[in-house]
Formats: sequence, C-alpha cells, structure tokens
Amino acid sequence: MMTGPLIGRELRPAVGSDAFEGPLARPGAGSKELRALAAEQLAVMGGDRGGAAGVGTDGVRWALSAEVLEAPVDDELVLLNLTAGRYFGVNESGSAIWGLLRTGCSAADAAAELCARFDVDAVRARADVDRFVGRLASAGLIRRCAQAERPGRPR
Amino acid sequence: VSGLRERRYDLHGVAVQVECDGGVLSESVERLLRAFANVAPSGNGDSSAWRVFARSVADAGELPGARSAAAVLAFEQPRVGLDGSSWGYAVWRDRGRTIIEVSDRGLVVVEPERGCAEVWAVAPERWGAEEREGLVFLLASEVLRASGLYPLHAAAVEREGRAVLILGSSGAGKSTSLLSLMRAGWRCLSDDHPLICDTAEGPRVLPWPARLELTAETARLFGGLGDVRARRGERKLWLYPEEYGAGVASAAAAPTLLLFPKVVDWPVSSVEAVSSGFALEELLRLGMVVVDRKVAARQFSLLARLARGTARARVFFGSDVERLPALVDGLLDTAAA
Repeated sequence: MMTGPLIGRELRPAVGSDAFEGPLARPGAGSKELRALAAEQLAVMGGDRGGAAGVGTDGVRWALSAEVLEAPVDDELVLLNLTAGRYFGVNESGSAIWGLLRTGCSAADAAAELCARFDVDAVRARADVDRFVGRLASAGLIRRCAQAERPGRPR
Repeated sequence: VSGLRERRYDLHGVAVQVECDGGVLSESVERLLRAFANVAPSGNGDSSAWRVFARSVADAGELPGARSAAAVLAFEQPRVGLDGSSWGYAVWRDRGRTIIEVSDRGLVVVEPERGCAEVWAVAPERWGAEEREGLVFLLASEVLRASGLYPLHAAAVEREGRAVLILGSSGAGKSTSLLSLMRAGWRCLSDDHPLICDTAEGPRVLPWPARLELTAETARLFGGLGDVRARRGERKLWLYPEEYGAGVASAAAAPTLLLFPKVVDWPVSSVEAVSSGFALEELLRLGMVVVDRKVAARQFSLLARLARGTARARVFFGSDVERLPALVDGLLDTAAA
C-alpha cells in the first residue's frame, strides 16, 4: 500500500519549474539549517496550497480545453494553456489521470482505474483525483461538459 | 528626410531592411544585429524583405495610438525592476498584428502579413544602452518568431557542428560557463539569445552573437580579458565574442547537451541528470511566448522535441571554473554511449 499521496509532485501552477531560487543547503548541512531553509522557501511559495474540494463529483464528465497543448516527456506531461500563456508540469500519476480524462472518464472512473493500475487505497485515490481535477479546472485546462457535449479531447 | 539611416540585415535567410531616424536607436539596432549586417548593395529594395522602422519621440504623448477596440491582451510582463533596469510591458494581439506597449517608454508594432514592423522609443537618449537594445530585441524577436526562428534566453556554444545550450535566468552562470567553454575551444553561437529552428533533421541552433556582457567578478576569473570595455553609464563590462577564445560559430549546429547552471558557493562543481520534463519547463520559461497561437503551437512542439531528444544536466557551478569543459566532455561522452 502506498503511504504517501498518490500525486507526489502535483500539477504546479508556478511559472517555471525551478521555483526554488533561494540559497542551496551546503553539503552536510545540519537539520536546523535545512529546516530554516525549508521554512524560508515555504514562505516564498505561500498561498499556492491549491485544490478545489468536491469538484469531481460522481458522474461529472470533463472536456479538455481546445486551448491546451500537451507534450508527453518521459512519464510526465507538460501542458500549455494558450489562453493564459501559462504552462504546467504534471507528474507520472497526474499524467495518467489526464490520459483518462482525455478519453472521457469521470473523476470516479479515473480513480477506479488508478486503483486497478497502482496499489493505492480507493479513498485516497478518489480524494487525490478530485483535488487534481479541481486544480486542472481552476487552471482552465478542463471544464465541465455540457449535457450534449462529448467529454474528453475535442476532435 | 535628413538623418534617416537605412541598413539591411540577413537573419538566417530572413531579410530585414531597417530605417532609423538616426541617433541612439540606430546604434542599438546596429549593435544587436551586427552579426547579420548585409553589405550587398540594396538596389531598388527587396520586396520580400521585412521593413522595419525605428523612431524616437520626445514624450509619450507623441506615440501613435496603435491598438483597436478588437485588441486582446496576450500577456503582461510586470515591471520587476530586479536590477533597476527592467520595465514592464503588455503584449496585445490585434487583428493579425502584435502590439507591445512598453510602460511609458515605447511601442512595438509587428504586422507579419504586411512584412512590416515599427518601434517607437520615448526619449531613448535618456535610457541605458541595454534598455534601448532590450526594446529593439522585443521587435526583432517577434519578427523572427513569425519567420520560424525562436529566440531562447540562453548562451550557446558549438564545436564540430554540435551545440551545447546553457540555460538560465540572469545570474545563473551563463556568461561564466560561456567564457569557460570558449577558452577551451568551443565557439560562441550566442551570448544571450541563440535561435532555435526546425529542420528535416530535427531542431537546430542558429547563431546570434551580439556582445558578451560580464560582471567585473567574471572578468577577473578569466585571463586575457584585459581589454574588456567598461563604458560610461553602463553597469556591465563587455566584449565582442569574436575577440575571445575560439571566436564565433557561423552555421547551424545540432543540439547535443542542455545545461542548466546554478552558481553555488562550493569549491567543487557538481552535475546531476535532469528529466526531460524539467528541461521542457525551463525551455518554456526561457523562450516560450504565446502571442499568435499557430506560432506558439509550432514553438511548443519544437521545444518539446528539443527537450526529449537532447541530453540534459544540471550543473552546480562551484569556484573551479576551469573544470567545466572537462565536465561537459564527460557529459557528452555519457550521452553518446
């Protein structure tokens, strides 16, 4: 059973992957120093705790925005939102969820599929998928499907 | 009109005819595009060439009103002022034109369909030379992007047709890395903005050497830089890249290594491999601009292929600057194996 969160390095709305612009820890730095550096960095990053709870309710289907370009890189994915001119790095599990959404899966379907693929607790998987889907939606990368609309990737 | 100066440039096949109203803006154009100066007589003019007009006005009230009600804001670069020289700008897409409003400093209008572009500067004689070049660079980048040549904020060197790109923001160690590699026989493709283009053989790096700017501290690290110029009113020292080490590269090179340097306070440099995802995000941060969507889609695909198909490493750059060429050779050997 996985003990950590399913999505370790989540969708990161920060522009630029190298968010850490502070000083690096010295090799062999003590725990006190590391903690001080971490606290400093968290303060800089503050505010981006993200995650819209309860967005991925059962049955809701999602359409990927036509304004999003995607580039798979190794097991990860980089998304570019042309409307906002912002890009996002998505880790391996996030990229698996994106792949499921693009085929028209709901968050519930995606969580079930992830449970089958990876050794992960169902409750945890669902919570993580909902949170991830909420962040995709708030970044304008996906939107709720209208009733007559086909979910997934626009053709 | 007296005082008008006309110059022709050939930017890797993109012909550009620049008309300046003289003065300092004309110097900035010449300095930024010096590697592309076309000495051939222009005759009656080339109808396929971009026509670029550079104008100075005394105050912001004299700038032309360029934007229509249909204009859509593409993005805004806030006034960051990290080094005291930055200004903010807003990029608009307006019926096929790109309009860049630079605070109260100036205006750039690029019309790819008509092949023409204008830059207006408000009292540029009061700015620093770097700021003037920055404004001209905004125009040149937009013209080049429309022609399939994408500038990247990086330094780049070439040896035997292979290119190493050194990517990072200001202060990441690009100039130091560049000088270190040039001293070891690599030729300069660009000090700050090489061009990436797509070819049948994959992404290629094209030269755009301008001037190598360095801090006094960097200059001290390298010998043979005794004649580095420090001019009145400029904060940085600089030299022309052809004056140092193996000089400049003149042809396209195949990208073989992406280096992401970070200057650290360690005695010994260290290297770590990075994922292609990391590389792509950095390439986007340092080069991606979304104005025209078709152009952006082509650039995104090109940068993704560059990230996927090129070896990549992060270098924590210690004070043993002379070891970088050996580190690079080691990385290239590993990549080739």
